[in-house]
Amino acid sequence: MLATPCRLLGWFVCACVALGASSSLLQAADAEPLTKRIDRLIDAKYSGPRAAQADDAELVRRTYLDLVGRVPTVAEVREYLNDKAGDKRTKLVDRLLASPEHPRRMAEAFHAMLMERRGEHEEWTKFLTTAFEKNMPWDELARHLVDPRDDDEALRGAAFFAVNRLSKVGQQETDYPGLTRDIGRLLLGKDLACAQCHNHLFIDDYKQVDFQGLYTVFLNTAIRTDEKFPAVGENLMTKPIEFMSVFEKKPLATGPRVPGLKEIAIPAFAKGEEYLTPPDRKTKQMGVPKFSPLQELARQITSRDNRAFRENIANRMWWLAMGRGLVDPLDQMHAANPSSHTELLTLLADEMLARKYDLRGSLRELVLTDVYARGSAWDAKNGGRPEPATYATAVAKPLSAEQMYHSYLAASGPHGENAHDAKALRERFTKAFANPPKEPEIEFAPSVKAALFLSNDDEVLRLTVRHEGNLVDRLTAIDKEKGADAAAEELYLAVLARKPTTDETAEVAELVKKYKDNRPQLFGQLAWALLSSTEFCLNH
Amino acid sequence: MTRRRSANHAAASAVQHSAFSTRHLQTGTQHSPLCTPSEHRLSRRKLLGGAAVAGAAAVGGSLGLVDMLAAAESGAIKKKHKQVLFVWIDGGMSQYESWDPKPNTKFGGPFRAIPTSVPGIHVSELLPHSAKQMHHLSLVRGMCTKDNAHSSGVGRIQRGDPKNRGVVYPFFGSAVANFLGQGPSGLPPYVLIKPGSGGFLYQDAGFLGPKYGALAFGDGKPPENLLRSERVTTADDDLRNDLRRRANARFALSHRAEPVEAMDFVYDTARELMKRGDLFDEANFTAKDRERYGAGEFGRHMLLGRKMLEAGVTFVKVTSYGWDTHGDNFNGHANIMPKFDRAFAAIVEDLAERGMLDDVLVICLSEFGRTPRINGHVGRDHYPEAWSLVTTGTGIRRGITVGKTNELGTYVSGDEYDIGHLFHTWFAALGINSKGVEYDNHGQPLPLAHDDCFPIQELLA
Amino acid sequence: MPDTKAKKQPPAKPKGKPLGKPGEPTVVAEVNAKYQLCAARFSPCGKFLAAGGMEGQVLRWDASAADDAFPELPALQGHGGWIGALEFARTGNRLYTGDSWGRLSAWDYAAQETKPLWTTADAHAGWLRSVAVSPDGRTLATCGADRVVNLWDAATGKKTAELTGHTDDTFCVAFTPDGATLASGDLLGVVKLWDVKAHKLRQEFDAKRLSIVDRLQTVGGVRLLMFTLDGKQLLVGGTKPKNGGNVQGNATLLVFDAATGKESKQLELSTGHVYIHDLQFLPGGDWAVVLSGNPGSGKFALHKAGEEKPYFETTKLSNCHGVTVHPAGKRVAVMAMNPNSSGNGRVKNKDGSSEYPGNWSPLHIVELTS
Repeated sequence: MLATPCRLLGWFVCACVALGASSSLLQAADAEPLTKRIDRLIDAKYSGPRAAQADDAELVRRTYLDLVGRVPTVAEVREYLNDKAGDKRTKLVDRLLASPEHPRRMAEAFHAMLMERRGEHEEWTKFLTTAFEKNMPWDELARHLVDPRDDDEALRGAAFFAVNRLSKVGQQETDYPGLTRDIGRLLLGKDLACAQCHNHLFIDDYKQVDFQGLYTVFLNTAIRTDEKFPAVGENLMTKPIEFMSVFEKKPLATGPRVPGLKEIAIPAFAKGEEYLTPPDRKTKQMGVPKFSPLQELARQITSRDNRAFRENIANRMWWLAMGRGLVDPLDQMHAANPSSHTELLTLLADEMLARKYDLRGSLRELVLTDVYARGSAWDAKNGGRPEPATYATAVAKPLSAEQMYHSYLAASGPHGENAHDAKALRERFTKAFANPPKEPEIEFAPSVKAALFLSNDDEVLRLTVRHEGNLVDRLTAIDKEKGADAAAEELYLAVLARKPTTDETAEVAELVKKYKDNRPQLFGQLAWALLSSTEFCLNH
Repeated sequence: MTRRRSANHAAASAVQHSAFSTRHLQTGTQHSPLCTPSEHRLSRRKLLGGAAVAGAAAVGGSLGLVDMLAAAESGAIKKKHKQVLFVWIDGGMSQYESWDPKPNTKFGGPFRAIPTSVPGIHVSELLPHSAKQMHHLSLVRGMCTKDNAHSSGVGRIQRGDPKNRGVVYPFFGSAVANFLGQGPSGLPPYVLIKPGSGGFLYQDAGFLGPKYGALAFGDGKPPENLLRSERVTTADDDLRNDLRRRANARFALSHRAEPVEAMDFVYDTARELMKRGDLFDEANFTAKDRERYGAGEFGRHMLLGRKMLEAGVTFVKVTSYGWDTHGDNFNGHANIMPKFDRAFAAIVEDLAERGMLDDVLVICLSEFGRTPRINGHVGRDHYPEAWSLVTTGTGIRRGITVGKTNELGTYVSGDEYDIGHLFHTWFAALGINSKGVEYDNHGQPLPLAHDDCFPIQELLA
Repeated sequence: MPDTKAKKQPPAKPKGKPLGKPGEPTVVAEVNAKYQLCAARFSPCGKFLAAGGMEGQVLRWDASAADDAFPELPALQGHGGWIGALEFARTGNRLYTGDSWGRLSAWDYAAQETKPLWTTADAHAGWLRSVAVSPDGRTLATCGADRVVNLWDAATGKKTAELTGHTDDTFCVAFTPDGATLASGDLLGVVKLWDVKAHKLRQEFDAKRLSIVDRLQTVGGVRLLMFTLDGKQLLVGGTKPKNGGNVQGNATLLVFDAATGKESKQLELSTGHVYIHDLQFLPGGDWAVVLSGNPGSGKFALHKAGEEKPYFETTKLSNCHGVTVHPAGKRVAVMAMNPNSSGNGRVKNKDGSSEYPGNWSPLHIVELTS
């Protein structure tokens, strides 16, 4: 109990020093904790019936899935259920955030969010893992995405974000517009795609110049061919980009510009003085211009003048924890699609800045709120289920392919080190459960493909065949020693992180009686059924 | 899935939006006149949502229950179930060596033209079997399209090359799956039989969303994981699925029903497909059929295509690769056209004989034709400017030619038809009024096919 | 075809365009064909150059005119499609031609008359690929898409035998110098040796390396068959194909012992040029070889008999599809293609007109030693 306030306090002190006495922040530190302020703002917006708070079992499962990317093991569930300490939730959160599984979970979540299943690259994985291991602030991480550096082996893989999008596919044009669009979507929460050729028709806030100001920077880039690792170079930028609306044929121009901010001036250099390193035609090595629009853009996007940057990440972290963005969809932040909780988004965005974009810290605050701990079950006696935007019930989140993989193994295991080819199995799970490229993974998307995979893939089926120490093996032994009820409890704790209901226990007992000749087989079927159930596939 | 919604829509539904509804049936949304020049007609149109018909199977991705409900309500297309056979000749079949021969001319190549079952219509001598089925077929010889690159052209043609509205349009198969659904068979609505690997091709679906993608049978083989593992008996499979359903039902008592229903639905479709493993068993092909269709890859795939149509699959696409004859075009066509000819003529004959042509729309095309001029490698390059395709079946007049090329085959004389015209025509043939119905892409109304194109009346029955 | 393209042809090249170092072969004239051609041969008398075209015509030029002017003579009419089979008899002013529609014709090539001496419309069902004339000039052999090898009485055009057994398109036929044996080769890389008198199959050679199946397409096959002048070896040419469609592979020549059918050598004549299209003997027995690959890429080479490495080669001529040796032995004609013969989509003419341009096959007259 003591550790936490200290840490929190330390965090605040840091932030204050860094900012030099921000008045609002001091006020915040004096006043109620952030978690309480969040809950207050949520409660202020909705006063209807609410779901009961999640019980320990639901909460421990949710917390494990969100913080370490898998369901808890039976021992981990039991430990939490049996812990009588009043601060056990805080302790759990801090333990999980400090575990090595946490950076892995964050790297997986941000990989899915940032790459949207376009592809993988070991340098990219290394970048994300390194970044989350050291809890790299989001503004720094974002600067790497926009303006990757090539001199740090652990971080240079950030260039894959751009290189993958700029890679030629057949004879198609290099997708500069796509990269531009994704920078807008993922870093600013604005999908400017429709504003490439004219001001957006439905969204007044999105202007053509907003798209073009970003576009000109990326249009000036190219994949470097002189390095084996992903790397992006820049050409010389000497003048603003000229464009014209397809509707009003009036010539317009802009230099590099972050939407809502001032245009970045393009400096003029004497001929021959433009480069730090001039391009080499023979080796086809790109030059390094003195003026780097990428560097300028990275700086400006992440500058404190750019409110959209912090609102976007605040909204995305909220979405990651709560299953629904305060602004929904995540990339439609504009005046006509306001946050469901305006003041809350402002608060979270300001705190992001004040806390120097500490993602781990911000996630910690979110998962310790009451709203995070809302139950997902709804009793129909209370009337219709409240809308998701009220957060009166927990919004169920689909398990990502990675969560599915780690959870399936955790629930059906433990499996020995050499029980299967982990890399290959993980790829199969990704193939079956990941969305197709460029499809944001937001909503629950069950598919025939995934159903066939879980139903018939031999490697998957092997996980629910009796092996020494695995779930089916334990169930068989427990049933023999302690009876069917104990086996039922083990089964439900392992797969669904909760104890079975009376009916569920009775169902298991009845089946055990009926299939007395082949219990391991039966327990395999029971485990498979629960592992393939909707309850397992959702983080509810 | 909620990638793009109009401001109005987003605002209106900000509160109602459900995490599990993937699409909303829109009516009366206000739209800017700029992106929708036809805005004034909008109010009189029936805006069909991305989900039109009950039972659209979630082959590759999610299935929103809202879709199914909306579809059931709309009841837009509830006549006899229409189907489509779509034969895709990837790489570019030469029109000179197939449907539009120009014998003994500068660019005509070595082959002769032969008469067909329709007096006055001649085709290349490489198509003797199809020539006998010409009374069932119609040739469009006035194709003039816009992309001479495979990488972009393949998608462009199959998406109907609509006006650019910043969205990726669905392939025709996905569009049809969206409108016609899976029909009474319970099988996935859009399947693809192709050489090489199979899988779930989400990309085909464009903005309709992954569930309208194609289920691809690589080399005519069943999809991955279709066959029940030897570890699992039928009884096991029944038991475990019964247990799964019971667990789901309990969960649904206190949680949202939609994800549970969607999960059960995809498992049902998967199990339905598993039951039809017989379709893939070549031992079930008769010797006579195998002989008529040809023993090679394309013949086998076309025969499987017929089985799929007979089983009730809504949209069956058969793809053939290897047609990009930049080098040695004439030996190439001399060798591959007969294989195409046998199988294509056989399936047309079979569909006609079974009376299926009345309900099955048949389409056969490439992404473009091949150049008139014969290059130094004795090949023909890509030529979108004047080429041919063949179509027949439901809603299509048979035994005619539409459009024509000049004497040398270098240009279309008279009316040029872009792929947009054919999309309008094929939608019309399926009973879908492409000028009166629009997609609703989360509030963004999108025409089914290119605004400036129209159905070719001459081609419609 | 009306000659609408004439104005678009490049102007005749100045004489004496060297293909190599001084003393090496030099192009001295370009017979400016306005057409695309399939085959070209000098007449044994050396006075005529004849070529089979792609528009159903046999073209002729006067090869003895002053200043290498090669004036065009009236074309021989009556064929359809492509005339890829074209051979002179050694004596008797006879020229035999076959086309892709299956017609076989005999001509008095020196006559003003442009009608055939005899013609057979359905010599083959489909593409007639190759004609060979027996050394005594009395027998013709042909083959084609019907997988049949036919023998003909050269004087009357009467079919004397049908040799069956090939299981796919037959591409070429060749007589031994003694005329007793005929070789035929097909798409699958099978070479059959026939007893010409007995009409019996004598032997089969395996050149299946020259053929593959890629997706739907069987690719390659025996594209060239030649017995050496002493009759002891059989040269089988084509490509070792890698793929169909845009066919790629290395031009390859297999050398077989004609008596035993044993392969003695495999010559890879090039990497990057796909097919060996033609091979003719120079008077001393050396080989004049032409190769062609992707549009723009071609090779003309001179080899000592049996050697893989040529003693002269040039890639200055695009897509060489034929070569013929003038009987005087000092010069050859290389049938090639215009440059820039390929490209997707509609092509704009340089003069801005909308007319769609075609390609053509220049015949380069090459002096072997300058």
